[in-house]
Amino acid sequence: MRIKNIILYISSLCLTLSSCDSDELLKVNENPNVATSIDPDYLLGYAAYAWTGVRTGGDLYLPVGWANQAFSTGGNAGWGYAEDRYDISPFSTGNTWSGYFVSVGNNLNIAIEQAESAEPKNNNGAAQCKLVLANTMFENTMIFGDIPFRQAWKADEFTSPVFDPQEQILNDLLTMIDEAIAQIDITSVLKISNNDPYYKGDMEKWIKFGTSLKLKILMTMVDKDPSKASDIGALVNSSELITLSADNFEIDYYDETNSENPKFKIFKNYAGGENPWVFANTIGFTFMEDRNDPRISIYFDANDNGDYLPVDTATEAALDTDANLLSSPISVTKLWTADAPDLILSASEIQLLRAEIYARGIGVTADLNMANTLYKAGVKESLVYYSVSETDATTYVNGDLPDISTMSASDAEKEIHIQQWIDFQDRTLEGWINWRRSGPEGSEVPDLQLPPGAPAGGLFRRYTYPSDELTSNKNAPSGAGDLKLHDNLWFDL
Amino acid sequence: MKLKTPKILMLMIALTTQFSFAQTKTISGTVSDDSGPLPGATVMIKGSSAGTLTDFDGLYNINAKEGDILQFSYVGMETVEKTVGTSSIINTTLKGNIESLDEVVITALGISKKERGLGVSVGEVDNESLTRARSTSPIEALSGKVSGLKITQQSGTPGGSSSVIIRGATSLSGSNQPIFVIDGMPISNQSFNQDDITGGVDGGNRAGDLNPDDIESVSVLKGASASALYGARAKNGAIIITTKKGNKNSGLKIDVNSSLRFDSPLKLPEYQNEYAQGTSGTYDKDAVNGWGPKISDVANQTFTDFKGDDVTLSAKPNNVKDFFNTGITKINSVAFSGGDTKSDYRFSYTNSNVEGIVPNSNYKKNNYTLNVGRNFTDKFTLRTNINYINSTSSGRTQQGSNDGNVVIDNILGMSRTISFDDLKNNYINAAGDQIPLTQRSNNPYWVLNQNPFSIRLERFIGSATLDYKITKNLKLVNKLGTDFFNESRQKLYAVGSLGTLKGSFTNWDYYNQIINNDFYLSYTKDSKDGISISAILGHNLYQTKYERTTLTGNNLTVPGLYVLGNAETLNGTDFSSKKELYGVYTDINLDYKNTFFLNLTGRNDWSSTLPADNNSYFYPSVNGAIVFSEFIEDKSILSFGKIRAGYAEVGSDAEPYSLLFGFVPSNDYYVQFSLSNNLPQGGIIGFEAPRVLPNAELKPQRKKEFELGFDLKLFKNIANIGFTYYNSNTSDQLLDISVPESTGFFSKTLNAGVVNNKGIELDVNLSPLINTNSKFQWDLGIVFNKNQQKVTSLIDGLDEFQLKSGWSGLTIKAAPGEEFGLYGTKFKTNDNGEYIINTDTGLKEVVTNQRLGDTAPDWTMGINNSFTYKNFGLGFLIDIKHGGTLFSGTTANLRSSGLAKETLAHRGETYIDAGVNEVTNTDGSVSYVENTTAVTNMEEYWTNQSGTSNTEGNIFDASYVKLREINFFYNVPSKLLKKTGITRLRLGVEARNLWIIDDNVPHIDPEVNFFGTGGPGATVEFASVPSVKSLGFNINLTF
Repeated sequence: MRIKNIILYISSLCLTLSSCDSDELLKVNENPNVATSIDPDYLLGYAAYAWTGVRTGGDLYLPVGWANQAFSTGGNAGWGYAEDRYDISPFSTGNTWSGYFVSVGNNLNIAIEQAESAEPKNNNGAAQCKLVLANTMFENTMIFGDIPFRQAWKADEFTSPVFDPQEQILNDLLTMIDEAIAQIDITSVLKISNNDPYYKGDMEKWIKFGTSLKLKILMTMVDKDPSKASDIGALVNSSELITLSADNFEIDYYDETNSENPKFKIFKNYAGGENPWVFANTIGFTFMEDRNDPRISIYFDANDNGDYLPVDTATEAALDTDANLLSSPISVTKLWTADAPDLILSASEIQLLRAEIYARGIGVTADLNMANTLYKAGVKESLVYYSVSETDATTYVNGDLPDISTMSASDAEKEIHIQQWIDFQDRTLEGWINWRRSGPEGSEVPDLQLPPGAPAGGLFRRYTYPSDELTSNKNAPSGAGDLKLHDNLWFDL
Repeated sequence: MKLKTPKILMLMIALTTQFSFAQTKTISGTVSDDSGPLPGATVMIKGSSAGTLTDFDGLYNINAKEGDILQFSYVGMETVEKTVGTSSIINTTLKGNIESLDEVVITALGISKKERGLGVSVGEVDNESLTRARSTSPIEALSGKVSGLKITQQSGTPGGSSSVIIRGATSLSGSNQPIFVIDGMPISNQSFNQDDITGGVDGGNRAGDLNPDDIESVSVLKGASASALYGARAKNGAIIITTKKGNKNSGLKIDVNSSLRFDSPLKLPEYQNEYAQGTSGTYDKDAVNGWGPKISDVANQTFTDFKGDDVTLSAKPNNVKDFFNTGITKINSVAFSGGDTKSDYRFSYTNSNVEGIVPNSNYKKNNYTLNVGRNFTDKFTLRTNINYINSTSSGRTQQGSNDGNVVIDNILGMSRTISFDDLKNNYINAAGDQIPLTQRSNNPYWVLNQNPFSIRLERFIGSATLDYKITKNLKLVNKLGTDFFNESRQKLYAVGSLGTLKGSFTNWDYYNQIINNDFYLSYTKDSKDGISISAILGHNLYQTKYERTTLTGNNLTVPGLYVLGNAETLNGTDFSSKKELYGVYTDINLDYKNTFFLNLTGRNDWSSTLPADNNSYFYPSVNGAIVFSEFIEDKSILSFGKIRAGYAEVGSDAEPYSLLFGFVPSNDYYVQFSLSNNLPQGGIIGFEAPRVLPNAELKPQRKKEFELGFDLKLFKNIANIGFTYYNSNTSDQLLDISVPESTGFFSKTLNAGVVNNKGIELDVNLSPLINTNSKFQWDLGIVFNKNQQKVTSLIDGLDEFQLKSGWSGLTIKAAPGEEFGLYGTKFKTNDNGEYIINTDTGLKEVVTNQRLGDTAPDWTMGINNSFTYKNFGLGFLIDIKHGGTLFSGTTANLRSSGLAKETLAHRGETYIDAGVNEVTNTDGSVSYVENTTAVTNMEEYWTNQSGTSNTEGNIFDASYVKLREINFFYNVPSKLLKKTGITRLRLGVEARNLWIIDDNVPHIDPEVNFFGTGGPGATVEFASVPSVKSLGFNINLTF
């Protein structure tokens, strides 16, 4: 009986101890791995690097570079035929979409909410995040066209966000930029500083970035919506534009393991640090060669014979009898270096846009002399940015560079577009956006041809929508799944 | 533990090998049953602990005094007692015990039930079946032996994992693996693969840690009815393992088992041996393929090889075959068992040592088990089981893509001119620096020698069962157990490895813990009017903890030193989770006249992972059986017949922390091609919102299953037939359903989706000679399962749900009205089914995101033959899988790189692929004309046809017929063993996976699963280690 009593006692104790109190159970489920609230600074930190990861990676940077003929695959002697024949992986379109909407957009939106709901309100922080969001969504709509915007990132309210027309999105972005600039108080210490990867909280630079972004978006819209010309005219001489590379909007990479620019890292990880896959494209190279451009030796590597040999789009790279490459790859020692920053909005880009505005007389009286001055300033900013010495750059723009003030307006415009193409050699997304707005269909600069082996239909003008979004979003436009890579977006005449 | 067990062992031996010095004489004799001598019968002197077992011929010898009472006993037989008289010979015949003729099976919670009364189908496998052709893992040894059980080996990695799926995959997300229970203690079957498809290893699953030699029997509880008492944990069925224990009242018995086995690749690709590496017919030392020049055409030329030497090219037809070593598996075990009147014990030690077929790969495992039972009083007993396992492995092959350590694709896809000996002898130069295979690829021997992936595991599984009889009919039982393990993994990139020139390493430390306690009151009562009742009322506590710490050190100062202080930068993450589950349950069994049986169960769970409103949930089951043969007098045709039926529900909970929103510190950000970078970067810190939108309204997932069947024994047990039809619906599945990413999230956790599995199971056992006195016996066992899975619904508006994603569009998805399917890129066709060929390139055009086939087989079958003649035995097992779709990454690589034999066709010729060109007419309509565009060359053709981004070109029928096991044994006659002290000696020859009798996949074994054990069980292969065939010898000794 004694043992019996002991056992009964232990048993009742066991049952009492192993209770199933609901509050206790809920406590067990409190997640020790997460923070329940966070400063906007750190959400911006993640969003900024997630964004550059999309911009510089194999889902966007490389496919767009190949499909838009900024560089060449070298066929089976290089990367292999795929993107250059417009075979773009569904994972690339999917990852790009999710990158912009989930990794970048959602975190920026939450950061804006956190900044604006903070006590006291962090206006500068909200503005910083809004300006980044404006640039990312500008890119997003330049890639996919009509996308959810007004109803995006409101998961509780809109489970299937409506796709907004591109024109509306671009106008909304302009409004968002205006709001953000108005919200900035350069005297306030409330801002994202240390964790601001772009300007370390220098709000004057943020204003310049916002103003420049606004000009860039307006220039994308103006051919379709000429009413934007007046806004452009009002901005073109603003002192708040980025006209010096020191104000460039860019994010840094480092020559440290797992902090390298992905454009470099792909070769470091998979090709022994050499570039056997991505080559100078004949189109851009010829522009540069014709103009004796000093960036040739920076952008590209010469072969063992000291020659620069570009590769035609979707064509085999040249090998010698010992299978050594004769064709010129993009240089991983000078251009795609480990610590090359991701340049998102630049002084050279703005100066060339200003040149174009004066050459075309958009919102201002056409003035080729002014255009020529800005054109030279733009090219010089680009040269210096890509490590040409100040002296050589000055000599080049004053000597080799054609004087567009002596040209017809259309030739001058073309010459500016050629310099934009060269300037964007390493910025394939900007290059692709600019090419599409450089003229109505068939008159773009350069005059690209359908790559051999690409499906008939037309040149590469958009990413198709990812199937995940189309299948899960009830409000996806009908026919969205039938769109082709060659279909025009709203802004693309 | 290592230190303590031998002491315990010595103590046991001292306790049990007692010698009696009283005046005795040797009594001998034969113990028989109706069919002849009975080996293994127990002969005891009543009232003492002295005893022995009969040998293979039923003979025994025992020292006893006149007047002693000898007890002769055997399972299922009535015990006979005989008093020792003057004679030294006592022969006896044991008769079947009617009561115990009913075989018992171990069911949920380790409760024994009469097989006769089961209302559901339970698969049983005994130790003999598991160990005739031994495997280091008990899971693989189940293959083909239980109907409804599909075992798939994941790879040929030593200590690799096997997936187990019972009655088809039911879950759209999460694991489809059953719970493993050892002596009543639910254990972990975790399988970690942190790097997944980018350089992950097959690290094995934890159920494989167990030692088949320690297992007495395995019960497979297939349906929800059988596993209802385990609740949530057993939604995919349960594998109930009962370990061996010692016999009370028996002397020391020592069992020694030793196996030596030789492993070699089961199937290797077939190669062309005519073309060297290069592009468009031009040699390229930095290519790993077969698109270079024809070797015979350049016989007079020299080319630079990987070492930089100028060489003439020659084919090395056996280079890949020569790369693989003969693997050696050694399994040695010793077990000591016995017992006195109040105690029993069994201690065993097993050492498994596997040298893999990939050089420098090995797996070593030590299993220590102790099973001790003690009757403290007539009413109070204790049983304790302890398993301590330690294992180490090195050189686990990294699989998949996008990692410099993944070399298996280059090994299986080695250029035909390169010899592995040359690579082996020249993987480093005089300075110790790597001589790489190409400028992009590490020399495989650099990776094998310098970058071995290692795993260390220490695991403890222990349980104690206290059993107290309160009255004759009522007892209290408490089973308390724990299973915890520490697993450490290390991945290395030596300084000088391509892609990681400055060196790097990653350490993963896992800790996993399960604590389980079952406390129940058991009541049994037999009444005189033929009604028996047994019932339990119980309480369960189940707690799991998981912790993971990952640390990566980059840029090593001293090459070869993998300690944190030697790394210039460190990057780390950690994660921990905890879950608690409480349950109250009952199990009521009614038996009327051993003919009508009814079983009712009910369980209510309270789970920590569900919201307060939904965290309590109840689920019932009912099943019953009628032994209708009791109504048939003439048993000559039908000796036993039973119909049975059951219905059950199982509820299951969510993963921890699925309910609330939180921000996680970002330690990296995504970049395609596995180029993700770390955060913080340049001092910038990142936090991010969750990607899965939490849901505070979750409720339990439900599985409802109905089954119906019969069991027949015909012609005096010559034929045993079991048939079961089952139909299950798993609803309210806890899914991370994709939401439009424009909401800012990838998915939202919610209850959705219904998956239906229905099918039949057939178990046929034929023993044509069982009723004869023939010394030749033949047993034929057939198990068959046909399962039809269907996703009944997902959620409104959702047409498909992604279960798993590979590369370049290859995905496993669920879609309403379909089975789980393989999706990917498909060749474009017109309405007539003709391929659309691109007019410019002559290559087939493709469309993305198309269904390519079902992942699961249509049916599986195992045919097990066993022959015995006198002391000889021969058995073989054929395992058949029919249907299912397989993606072969190896075939894709071999074909697109021009190495597969079939790529020789049409080289150098004009080749026009059959199909049509799409022509858009001026009115916008589309018409088709026969393709006349030749491909540029066969290199372009195969690159398009079989590139990994082109899924359809690499899809095959996954059916196979395999000779899974062969075993042959010889029992040495006991008369030859006299005076040796050996009571039993068996010599065996064993073979596993010897022959793929038939398959439809070129170059690889169709039994693969690259996606690991946790997922939907799809047959996808991507640079996996080839599976192995084994041939070996076994010796089994009993003292």
